Amino acid sequence: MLSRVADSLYWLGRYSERAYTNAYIINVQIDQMLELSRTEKQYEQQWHTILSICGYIESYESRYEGYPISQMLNYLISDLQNYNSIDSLLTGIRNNAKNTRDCIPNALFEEWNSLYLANNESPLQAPYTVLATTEYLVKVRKTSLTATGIIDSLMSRDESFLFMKIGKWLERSEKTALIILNLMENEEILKQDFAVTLALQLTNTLDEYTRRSRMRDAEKVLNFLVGDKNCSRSVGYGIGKIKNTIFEIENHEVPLYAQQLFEAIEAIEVLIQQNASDMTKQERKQWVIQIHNQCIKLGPIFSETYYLTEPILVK
Amino acid sequence: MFKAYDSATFFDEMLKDDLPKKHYIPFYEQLQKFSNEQLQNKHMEAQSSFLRQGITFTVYGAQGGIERTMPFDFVPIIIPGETWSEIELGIKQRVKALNYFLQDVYNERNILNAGIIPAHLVDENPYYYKQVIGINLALENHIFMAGIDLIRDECGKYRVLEDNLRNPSGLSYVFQNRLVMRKTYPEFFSDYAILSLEEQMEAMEKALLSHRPPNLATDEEVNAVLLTAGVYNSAYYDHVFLAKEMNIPLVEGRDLIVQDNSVYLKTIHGLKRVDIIYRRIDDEFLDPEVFREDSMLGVPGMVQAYKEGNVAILNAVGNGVADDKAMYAYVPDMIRFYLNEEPIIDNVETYLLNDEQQRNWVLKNLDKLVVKNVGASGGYDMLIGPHSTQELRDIFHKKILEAPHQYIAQPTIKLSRAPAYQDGRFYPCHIDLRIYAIQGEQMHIVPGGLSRVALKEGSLVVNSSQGGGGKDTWVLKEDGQHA
Repeated sequence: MLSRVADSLYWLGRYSERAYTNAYIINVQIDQMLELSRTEKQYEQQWHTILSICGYIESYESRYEGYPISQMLNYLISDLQNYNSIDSLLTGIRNNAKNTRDCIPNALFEEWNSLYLANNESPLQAPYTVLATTEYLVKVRKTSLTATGIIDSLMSRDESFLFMKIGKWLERSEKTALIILNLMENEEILKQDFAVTLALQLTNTLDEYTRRSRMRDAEKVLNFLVGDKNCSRSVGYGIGKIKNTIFEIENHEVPLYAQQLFEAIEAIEVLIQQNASDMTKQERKQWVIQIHNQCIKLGPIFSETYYLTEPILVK
Repeated sequence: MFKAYDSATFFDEMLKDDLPKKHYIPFYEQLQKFSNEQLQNKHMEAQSSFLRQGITFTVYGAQGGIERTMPFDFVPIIIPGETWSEIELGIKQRVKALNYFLQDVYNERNILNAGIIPAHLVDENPYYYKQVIGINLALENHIFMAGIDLIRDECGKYRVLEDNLRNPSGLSYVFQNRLVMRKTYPEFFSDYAILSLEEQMEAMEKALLSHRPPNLATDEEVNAVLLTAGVYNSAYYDHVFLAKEMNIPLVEGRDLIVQDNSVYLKTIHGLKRVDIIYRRIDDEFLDPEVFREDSMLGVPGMVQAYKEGNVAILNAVGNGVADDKAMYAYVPDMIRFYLNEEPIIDNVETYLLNDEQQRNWVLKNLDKLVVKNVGASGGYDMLIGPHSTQELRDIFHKKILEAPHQYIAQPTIKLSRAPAYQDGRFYPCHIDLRIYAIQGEQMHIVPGGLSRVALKEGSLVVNSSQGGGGKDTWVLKEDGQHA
């Protein structure tokens, strides 16, 4: 497979996952916000966390003043200068899908293209009413889920499929680590119980966790989100999937050129296997920071291993 | 509902004396069964299907590229079988002669030495590339795909309007128009047996892969790619479609690298040899070492690999010398010279403006003629005399005097018309037909081709970039069917 195409497929996987997760997180936050008073410290802190998880808090603060809801939603949903806004991600997904149209099912391109065109025709804009915003975010999530269904049911399990999946798993692992990290940093303000529940909500694992365990201890939830082998949104689950997928690409061998990549994956695996219950609060935070950093490093190593070349889009 | 219009002033594809021609009767009868609302709904569905699937082309402008779909009109152009057989023969004859011409001017130059074509038309042609003189080409074939534009005059006689031998686009629309027609207007197909497009791409793939470069060992598997300028290119969808249908990778210049005079593909597992490049970028962008230095679309060293016989480039480099609007006037002479035959399909009469006598006559009659820049395409730098203002004619008068060799003039052909349905009503629109010839070990003509329609009422410009649309083109299977 072409390196440039592999790169586009990898980012197609990442951006689709990011669009789904960000739409979900913003949705959760809109729901939460309804019951909070805007004067509460928690209200502002919670939005601060969301802006960090779904965007770049520094960039937000350098360009916007204060935290009015409509402004934050504009930044998170419509602002094309924010590369992680939903609309930027939609453009990125469509470009990458266009760039790989000869390798993906037509239905996959059409699914994202329809949403992109509908949004271009009547974009969501201020005032961001709760109903209209929620409706749009649900549409984004549904498109992402349908796209996943198309990929899973129509694509051969060839390299195109595997590169998209790697993008998705890496994005998911990194995001889960980022959510935990941000919430740990705000534990004082958000209060531990609340932060723990919010972590489960933002990672879309609250139902699953509650089904399996009634106790929401911080350590237990942390172990669950970091290393639970059955939780499809845990860091460990994603990393395990990446490792297996690369093994598949390499016919179950570790060639010389992929050695660094396997070492990086194994380094994360070693970290993940540790137990939060044996750690102090400070150690736990350091532990999550390390996991998050290692996840961030994995992408460039992966790209280097497979000569992934970013496309130059000549206008 | 469809109402016949006065078709007397132009040849009409569907009507004669306000009644449908025999081969249009089943279509016409079916059309009467639809209500206005049904037609409107189907029309909307067809247009949105193109947009949803991203079957778009890009119109370049000051604000960058704007993506547009080519409007689809559901009234098909129906060609009786025996008429098609004649067209097919004519196109094959023409493309064969053009290929001989290209092989000749890049080698022996017999036609120039015989004085049939003035040598300066070749030697001073900006698309005649001396860099590729004498190259040993796979199958000695310069034209893998040709797009020959036909029109019908007021008597219904087919004439060639233009030869496109570089990167003719639009083949994907032939297929998509048929798919949309089948899906949205299935009713119209009853009572017709038409030539299918189903197996065309397989034939095209086979023709492509038959261009094995001279140095490729006979037992080696051949690797082909389609080279595109990328997602912002106006014909990008065409490229995606062709690559997908021929099952070859769609690549950009930066996906390729030349090492030891061979071309390689950059894959996730390292370099992979490339034997055939079906390029959809123009000659001048192919190789910055040979042509434009600033080209970011091409591959340094590619032309040298081509010259060495390590890679085939399709269509061949330098085809532009045979398809400019001045050389067009000489194609009938090429047919006579190389094939010793009379042209089956005539040209439109063409005046060459570097001939003083012809130029003077043209300058006096600009209001009656069409003037075209020999190097331009897509309806640009063109004067349509009867529809022009005195001011525009003055501009072209000056342009012709400044660079007479740069322009040709033709009589204003009364292009044939066919009904089109837009904005809830039917009206007659001028049309043309692009026929695709595919050449590998044999030549193959795609049945039907792309019917383009000037949707703006009264307009003669059918190019999609100028607001033209497309129609499905049916070739009737059996001779005499409804004819």
